Amino acid sequence: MFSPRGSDRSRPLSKASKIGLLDQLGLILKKELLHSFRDRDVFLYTVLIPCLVYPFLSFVGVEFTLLTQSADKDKPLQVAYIEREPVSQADAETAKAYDFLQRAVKAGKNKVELQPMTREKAMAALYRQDVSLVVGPPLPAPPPKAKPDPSASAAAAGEATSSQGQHLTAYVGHSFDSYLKTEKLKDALDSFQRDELKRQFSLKGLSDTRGAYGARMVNLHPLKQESYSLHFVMLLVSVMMMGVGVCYPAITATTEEFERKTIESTMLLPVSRDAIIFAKLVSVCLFGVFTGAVNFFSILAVFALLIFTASQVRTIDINELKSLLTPVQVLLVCSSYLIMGLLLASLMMVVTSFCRTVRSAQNWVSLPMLMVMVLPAISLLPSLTLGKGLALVPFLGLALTIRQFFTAPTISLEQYLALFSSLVYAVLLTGIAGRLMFEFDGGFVPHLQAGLSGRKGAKKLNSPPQSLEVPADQEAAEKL
Amino acid sequence: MSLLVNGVSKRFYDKARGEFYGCREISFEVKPGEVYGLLGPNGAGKTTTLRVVSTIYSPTAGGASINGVDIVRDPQTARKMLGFLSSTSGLYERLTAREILTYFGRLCDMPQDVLNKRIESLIDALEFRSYADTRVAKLSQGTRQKVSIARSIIHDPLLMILDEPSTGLDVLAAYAMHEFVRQERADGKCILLSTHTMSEAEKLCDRLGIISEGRLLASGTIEELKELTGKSNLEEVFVHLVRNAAQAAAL
Repeated sequence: MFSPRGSDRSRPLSKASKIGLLDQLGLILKKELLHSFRDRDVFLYTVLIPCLVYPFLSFVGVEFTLLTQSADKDKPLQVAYIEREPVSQADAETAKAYDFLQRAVKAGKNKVELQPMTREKAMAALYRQDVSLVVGPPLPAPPPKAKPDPSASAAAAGEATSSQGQHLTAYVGHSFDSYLKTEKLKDALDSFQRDELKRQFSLKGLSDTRGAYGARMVNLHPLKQESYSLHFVMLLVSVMMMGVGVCYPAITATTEEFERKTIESTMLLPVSRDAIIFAKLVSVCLFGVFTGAVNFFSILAVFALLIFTASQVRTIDINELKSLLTPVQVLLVCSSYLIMGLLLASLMMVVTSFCRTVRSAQNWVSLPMLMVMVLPAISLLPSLTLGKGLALVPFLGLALTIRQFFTAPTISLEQYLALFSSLVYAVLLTGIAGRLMFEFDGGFVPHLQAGLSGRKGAKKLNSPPQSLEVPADQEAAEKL
Repeated sequence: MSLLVNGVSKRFYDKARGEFYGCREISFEVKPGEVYGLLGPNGAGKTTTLRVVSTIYSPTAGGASINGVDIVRDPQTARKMLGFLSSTSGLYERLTAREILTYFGRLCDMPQDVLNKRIESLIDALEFRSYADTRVAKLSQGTRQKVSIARSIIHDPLLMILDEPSTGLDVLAAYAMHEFVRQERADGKCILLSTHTMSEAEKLCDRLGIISEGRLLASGTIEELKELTGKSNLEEVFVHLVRNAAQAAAL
């Protein structure tokens, strides 16, 4: 029954074909990926949930928005418009745009109430939330400073650029609610027979109505110098979800080896243990990056579906959609994202390597999960800037680095520091994970566990082998 | 091809017990075509000794060599020459038997064509062809044991280390396991096995080492051990040696 001899059993099996380190890594990586992906939990958290959770959340969100909108749909939108200031000949188009706006609002069946105010009063009313929007001509560009603050000058440049070709600007608060109200104003304007507007504009020699008004975020908070792109927020969400993605593959790659008692087989592989732990790290990292990417594109797909299937939205021209990031920025963001994945995978593996049962690992992974949920989210604080100290903080330094890549395609010293320190952390953590996995035999792990449980010193029950007294029987045995 | 174990000691640390030795100054030699058995009660240090020899544990003191290859200095080469089979070793639950054999075979430097033939031959010889492409999680205990054996001998190792190989097997499977050991011995392999079953030791082992409390108490053929202790059967020899060692330790 157990006879291992096949008809062609041959000695030349020992004539080995020497496989290189890369081949060994590839084989271990392939096995880890295959073994992890066949785990139901891994499939659930890396693929299924990201694909289902966002459509579900968006459905709930849309229903909630419709519910709240229907509650105050009869209330007109309060809009302050800045009383016409002395208009020069150059601002004649602005005056025309004003007239069109007022006519449009009137035709909108009282959905919008316009209140004339001075610029100062209008801004104060917006700050007090007495009005939802302030509409008026764009501010004149500020005079250039001798040594401009980088963020302030970037904001000013953005304002000047965006005001070109626009005759009115809608000033809104810095909140999601403001976005909704801006859209409501746009809807009100669109409802005024867009074709009619277009026709009248063309009669007056203007090519398109799109230049007649523009809605733009103007930050009223003096400390909030930056506004973040939706891409960055989505990326942060995807980083957080990467934590969920690395969790179960890390447990499969480390803790499960102990629970299923396959660790002996793994340790008997004629491969360097550094290579084994490195291959495991790469596989866990790949799962994390894959989960993050699935989350990112799932959110993107849901947004796209919401936008392009909404019958009310007519102002988005698909030809105008383009990435605001340069290819260099995309490359830098992706590289940082990969390093984030490596760091997260190594941290998760340290925790799971320390556990000997899957159940305990499932409890302990909440710690790194918390870190990856909180630390990158701190980078959303606008007043926080990447300094040398913050660059060394795991996850936070990297998140701030990614944030900077979204605004400029260059790498500063602090960003280099954050990237390099994250890689160093990943290597150190992987080394610790390797020791926890492969030196569980009475050295590292038991001492560490004793240290964590507060035990001081180790009892020495047995004397060292040098002082061993050989019993008479053993002496006799040696004589044999 | 021979295995030489020289003064191997392994020290552990445990929260309750502090530092203690799993095995202490164990020395023996296994020659080609010989089955050497480590016989001892539970917790005697058999498994620890086998794990040190198979490079799973690193020894605290002493060392061993397989065909002249030092297991401490060159563990990777040593691992290519040994096959380790334990009743407690698990298999990757979500891989198939064929995938497991391919994985281990390739990492043991076997060329793909030779490996494919070897896998087919083992599948036929161990009679699990109908389960070769089934995931291990769905296999019965007996079939898992067959896959474990196939995995441990896939690279045709010169030294077989078997840790209580028939534990948990039914009578037929245990008999088949014994047949497997005999065949390997006939093929000129070195075989080191541990057991706490007297009958298994008598059936299989050419020489025995009696081990207790981590110490090798006596070593030799069964006849030599009987002569040394003046006892008529292996069970009495074993009890005599273990009790004497316990009394000596108490003193």
